Amino acid sequence: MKPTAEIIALVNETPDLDEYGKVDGAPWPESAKIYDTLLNQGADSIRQVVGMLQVIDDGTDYKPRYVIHGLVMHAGKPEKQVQRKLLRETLCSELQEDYPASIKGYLLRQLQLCGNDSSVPVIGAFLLDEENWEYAAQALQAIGGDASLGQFRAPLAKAASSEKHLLTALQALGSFQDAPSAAAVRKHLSHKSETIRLATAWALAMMADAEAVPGLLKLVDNTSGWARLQVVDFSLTLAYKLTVAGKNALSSKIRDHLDAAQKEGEPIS
Amino acid sequence: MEPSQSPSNASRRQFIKKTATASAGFTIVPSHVVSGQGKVPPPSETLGGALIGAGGRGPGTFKRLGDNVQMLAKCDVKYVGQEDNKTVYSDFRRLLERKDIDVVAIATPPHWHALISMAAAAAGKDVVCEKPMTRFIAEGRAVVETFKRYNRIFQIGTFGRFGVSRKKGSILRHKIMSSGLLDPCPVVYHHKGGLKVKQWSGRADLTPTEPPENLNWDLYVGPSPMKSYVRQRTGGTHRNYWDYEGGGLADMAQHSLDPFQWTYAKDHTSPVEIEAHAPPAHPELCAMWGWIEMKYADGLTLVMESDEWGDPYTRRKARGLSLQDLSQEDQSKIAAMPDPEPLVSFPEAVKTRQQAGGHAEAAHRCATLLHLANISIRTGRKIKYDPIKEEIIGDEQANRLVNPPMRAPWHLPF
Repeated sequence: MKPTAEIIALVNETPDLDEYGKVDGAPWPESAKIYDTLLNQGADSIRQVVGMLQVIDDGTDYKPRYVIHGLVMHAGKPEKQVQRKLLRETLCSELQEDYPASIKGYLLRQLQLCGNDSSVPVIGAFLLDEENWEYAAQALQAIGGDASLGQFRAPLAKAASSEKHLLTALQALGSFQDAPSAAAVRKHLSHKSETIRLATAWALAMMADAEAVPGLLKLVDNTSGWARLQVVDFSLTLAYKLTVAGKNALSSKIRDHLDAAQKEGEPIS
Repeated sequence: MEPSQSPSNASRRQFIKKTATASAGFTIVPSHVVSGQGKVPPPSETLGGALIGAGGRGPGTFKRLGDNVQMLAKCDVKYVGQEDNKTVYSDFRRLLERKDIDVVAIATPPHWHALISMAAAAAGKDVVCEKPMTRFIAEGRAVVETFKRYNRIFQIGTFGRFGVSRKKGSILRHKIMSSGLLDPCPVVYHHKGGLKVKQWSGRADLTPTEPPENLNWDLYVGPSPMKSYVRQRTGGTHRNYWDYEGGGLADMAQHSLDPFQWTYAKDHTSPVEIEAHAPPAHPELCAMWGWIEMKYADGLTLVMESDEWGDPYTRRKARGLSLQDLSQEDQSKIAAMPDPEPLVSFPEAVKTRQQAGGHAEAAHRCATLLHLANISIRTGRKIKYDPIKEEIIGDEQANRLVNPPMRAPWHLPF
């Protein structure tokens, strides 16, 4: 949305960069007046500040970037629920407008700090985006909860043809320790990419997936170098988790296998 | 923000706590024991060493490994095109595969400290790591648990605690504080200046360019959010960016906080209230702040004052600690206490497998001070912290800075 002269003037109350191009902001009470004015004026005022963002972050749009981030932190105060709702809904709405990818990336990074369950569908739509999939994944992981988790389950199959999207989805499902996804994840243990195989092994370990034990131990036997160190580490994590879950026999099986597979000079017992 | 089930916070911490209690049955045999048929290396043995992160701090950090260490290899993401994967590497993963390397010095920017430290431990190496130990709080707990898992030696690359631990006055204060006899603690420790706040503030007017051909930008960025390249994101000025460090505070404060933490026996806890005086922070760049006040549960107050921005700190006057703060009976108890054991240097710890001074838990708690201060600066508000659960209380947004998600394929181990 094109900014009015009034909004431009308000944003321009932000101090200029100093002679070295560095930020020398005004104290919070002074800055908060700008944020409160924008939040009190409502969504259109915030949209106008978003409309001032430029494609390249080279300082040209330093003031609107600074104001938007200040708004996010200001509205992030625990007691500012109403303002936070307005802000996150507005940022989500702007994400669906026709902005360049770099501006949408900036908005996603702000939603990582102020989004909640209601923001999840809009953010989730970027999980297969060519440029902003990582920012979307990081925002959803920060928001957490079942709604965010659900966003990663669905794209797993769709992402299979794109390694970068698949990698990010696998890692997120591992972070969520999402056991119901284990079966879908497990098939990637034999992926052609070593990076994908390692991400899969870690995700399955995080899910405490008992059915992954043979697959992980096979990877231990069939890898070397960095990959082997990693898979041993993930196998230990799986052993821990299985012990915590009371599956001591499986945990012992992992330990015994690692003992037997240990090579000269390797730091595993 | 409404409470949420974040995979990168509560569940991970719970798991680490559970696995920590179960870890005794999973201790890893040290590589020296494995490779040396059950013996630790004799004192005269030369160890194989490597340096990861060969910038300005690299040589000094490597020297901390000890006199009996031979540098076999060095690694830096700016060595693309020069690497022979024998003595020069551009990818730390290849270097860590080598079995002849026993000890590693890490002097990369801090966003890599935790991940490379943990990877080195998993590869059977002992580690000296440049400060600050981490970029965010949750990394520190993961490092602590990983070094327990692999029974490796970790030492942070600041040594202020070694000096104060030999001074009579500091030893007395350490004994009083670790006795638990002083509660509430009236001490106000006030550190002013020398924090390079302006120096390590970033420039907001830089135009992104293509990275140079000799730099692996993707590997440099690693676990942090991918951003366009500007030269100042590397080469020392990385300190100016939240993505890699945390300004002058993260870079310099540990010099005074490391001895403070030992003197006041705070190696195993963290403050419960943190409040900063600062302007709103820039989304990418570390910038100005005036002062930070942190209070421990026992009443000990720590004040860091930049002397570079805003109004001076006037809330409380500095206040030291003496034996006279205790009753006669308690003074006698302190007099009867043995002095603490001398801190163990890294070379000695490698030989004896004792815990090094500036070990992982101490380094993690020191880095936590820096991170909590920066979280208060970035959120612009007072925060309350639970030093046992290691999370911020009642502030979802602030908590999202305790354990931000990493960019795949990089992740914390647990």
